[in-house]
Amino acid sequence: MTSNNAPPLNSLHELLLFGTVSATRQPALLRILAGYAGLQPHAILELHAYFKPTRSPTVVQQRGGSQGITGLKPGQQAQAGPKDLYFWQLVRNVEEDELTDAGSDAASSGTKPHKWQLQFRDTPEPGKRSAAIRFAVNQDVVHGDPEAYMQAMEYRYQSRHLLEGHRLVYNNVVISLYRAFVPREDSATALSPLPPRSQLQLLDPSGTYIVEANIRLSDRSNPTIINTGLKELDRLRTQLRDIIDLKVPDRLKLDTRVK
Amino acid sequence: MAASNPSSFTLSLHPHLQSDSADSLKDVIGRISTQRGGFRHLTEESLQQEIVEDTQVEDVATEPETQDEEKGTVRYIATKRAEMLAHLSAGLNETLMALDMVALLQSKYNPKHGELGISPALKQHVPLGTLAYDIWEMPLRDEAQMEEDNLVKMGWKIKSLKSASDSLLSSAERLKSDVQREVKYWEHLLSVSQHGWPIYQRPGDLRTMLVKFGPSEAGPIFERRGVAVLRPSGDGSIILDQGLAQPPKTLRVRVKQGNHIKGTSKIQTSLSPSSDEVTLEQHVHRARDSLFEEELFHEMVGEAREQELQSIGVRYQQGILHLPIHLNEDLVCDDEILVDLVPLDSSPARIGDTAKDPLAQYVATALRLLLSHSYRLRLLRRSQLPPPLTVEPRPVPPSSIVRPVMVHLRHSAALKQLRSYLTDITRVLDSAGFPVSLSIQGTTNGSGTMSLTKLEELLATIKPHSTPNLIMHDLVEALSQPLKTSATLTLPSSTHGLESGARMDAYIGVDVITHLGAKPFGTEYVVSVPTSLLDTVYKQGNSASAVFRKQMTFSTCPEIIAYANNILSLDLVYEVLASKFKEYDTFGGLPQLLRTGQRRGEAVSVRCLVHVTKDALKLSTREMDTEVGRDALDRSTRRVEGTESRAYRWDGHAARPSLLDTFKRLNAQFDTPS
Repeated sequence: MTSNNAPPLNSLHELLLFGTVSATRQPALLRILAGYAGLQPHAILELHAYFKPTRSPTVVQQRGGSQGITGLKPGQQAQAGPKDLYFWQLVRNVEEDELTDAGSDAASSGTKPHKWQLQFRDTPEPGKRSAAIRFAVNQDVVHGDPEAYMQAMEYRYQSRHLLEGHRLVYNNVVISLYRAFVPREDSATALSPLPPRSQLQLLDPSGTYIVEANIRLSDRSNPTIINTGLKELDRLRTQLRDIIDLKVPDRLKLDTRVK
Repeated sequence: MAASNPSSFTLSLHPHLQSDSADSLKDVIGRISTQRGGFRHLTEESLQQEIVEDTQVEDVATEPETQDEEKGTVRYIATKRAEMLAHLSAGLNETLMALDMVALLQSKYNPKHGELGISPALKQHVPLGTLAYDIWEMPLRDEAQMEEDNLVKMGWKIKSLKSASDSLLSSAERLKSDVQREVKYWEHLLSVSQHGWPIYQRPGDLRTMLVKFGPSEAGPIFERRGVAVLRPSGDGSIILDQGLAQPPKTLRVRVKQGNHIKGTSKIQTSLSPSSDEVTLEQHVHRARDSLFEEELFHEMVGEAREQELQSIGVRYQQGILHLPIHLNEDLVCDDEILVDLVPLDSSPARIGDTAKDPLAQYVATALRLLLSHSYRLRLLRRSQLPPPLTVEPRPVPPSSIVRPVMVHLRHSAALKQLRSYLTDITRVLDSAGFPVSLSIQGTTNGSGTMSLTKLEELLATIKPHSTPNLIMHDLVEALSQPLKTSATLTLPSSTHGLESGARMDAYIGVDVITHLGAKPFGTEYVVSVPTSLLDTVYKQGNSASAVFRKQMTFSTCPEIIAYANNILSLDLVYEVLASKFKEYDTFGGLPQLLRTGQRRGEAVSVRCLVHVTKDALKLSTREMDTEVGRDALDRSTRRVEGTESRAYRWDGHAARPSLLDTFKRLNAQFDTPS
């Protein structure tokens, strides 16, 4: 990633609103949203594997020229503190037949490599807005072993889960309805074949779906873009007010820092 | 009641219960205990006493006079006196009041006299002269009048009852017609809905029903027009209210050759808008079709403004879109396709020549399929994950409707031209004794139309889908690709070449490629010739060889024709004649042969020139001075002076001796060197 040959990071900012819908009401909501957006929802089945940094938090030390040091007040050096470390995740799409008994056998024989994407999600920025805003990186893994790469970067595989649901696009808003499944007992690597569906259990036993409304921004520094995005999300929230309650999430619940 | 039945008077506060024989003992006991405070205090004596006291009290109350029977007693006298005084004062009072009234009445007509008689109390309360009298004649009871009045009364009663019943009947009638109207309205609505048209209430105005007939992917201008109000008319039938709708229109495609319209596409049979038989579904259908055609034309006109299409002669003038089929050298189009919108209810006379033309019909069908395809592309684009938000709104890619049609038209026109040339040249060469073979293959067959086998191949490559709709889109997608057709023409040297035998690689290959993209738009011809020929021609090391490559790309047909003519001439000269007749020299990379020798003992130089054109193969010979000939050979001069002595021509049909035989005869004129 840091080498000169790697493609530039595909970084962006996201505006987010969240809501929940019960499993019984999810089909109705999906139909309403499909009618609202004027297109059919697209089924998603994604595997998310989390990686935790193995190195200990390091204190940011200034190296090289010391021009800045003289200007620092005595307390400021201490305030910098240890640099935060973040979880990263590897994400890929899962075919439905990988979750059957036969499918996992076929997958273990290793026919074709999966298309992974390396994702980073920052903790949402503090501040009062009508939607949460956070920095995000989506980097497609073109070739190579992504887990080995993560290990080389001093990241260790932590856990993985499956997101199942639907996604649809309304103008610039990507609306996703999903819920998470976790394997009952999981292997120690991210790349091992998935257990069959019978071995998966809902993370939230009630089966509630999460509704996520997401607008991606190309330029965080341009207030016009942010306002356009916020307005569009606001409009969506107002129009769907009686159907689903979309809220600004608590930023600390979306914290991706390693504690 | 108490008097008539004294025994029952005693205790009960519920007289109606007395007669109720079902009065239970329990109730009686309860009542006695509440009234008497229990049986403890109740004795027979006390009850007897009570009864006696009650009767005495009652006697006093009901018959008080009985005690005043004694006349002459003081009490009697006093009573009577009081009675008399009361009567007297009452009489006096009434008299005075009568006086007051009469006086008051009099005060109206004779105030002075009247005033004297009025009592002060009355004077205080009532002003003088406020009472008067009139003398009225008492009406006589008229039986006839009364009867009449009764009749009038009954008449009025009957009349008002009738009007009430009438209004009730008319209300019922109105309700009935209302119900019928509503039933008709909803039946119509239901039938529209059952035919698959989405019907919904207008948000915020729940009484208005709307039908959506426009495609969901229609452009911003047409999206709003794709909805109409279903308004009930007087009799309950539904009027499709499209607001400021234009009359229904349809697309007309005409093929023009020169100044003459050759044919027209099929115009949909028009339904007269006034006819009553037109059902609501037909109305909705027609509105949908018209909207579709209008958007199609709108998109086409928008696309025609693009530079690449303008540069190949597509233009929009006076409401008509001109799609040139073929441009001649002066960039004036001979044949073109005219596309315009015509009102649906136009009479055939107004629409013009109605001669059907398959090409026009194909183009019209293709244009409609392409709009439908571009709807699908819009849906796909809308469904995809949008790129991150930027300041500029996301650009809308232009529709590709005119482009694919133009590609096919251009490709077919180009191929037609090339094919006509190649068949002509084949015939010419054949007549000169060089049977060559021609084959054309590619996306389209030689005549420029898609062959059925190709179409089947194309369909086989398309993934099997569940719906024919998707197959259609895949097919359109496949047909929207750049077109490539390859033609191969074997060279004369392939059959009459060196003694080593036929050469498989001796052919001219022409790839006709028509691009769809922005640059380069249009047809290009890639011509490949065998390098062996070029090597032979340019082994003299002529500088001109740099111009000739194995592959050359041309953009117009005349260029490639000239090039192919030259290649054929060179092949005839270098690979056929020069290899068979070693006495001749070639020079200058030109299709010329030169022999310097003795003819009837006289030194002579003969130059033979082979010239291939589309119409004919020409062999001309010139004789010249030997010196000039040698000089030309040495310096490889292109221009060689001389007088033409003879010319031979093969134009495709004359059964003449072949070129080789002719050449042999020419060669035999020279003296054979001993």
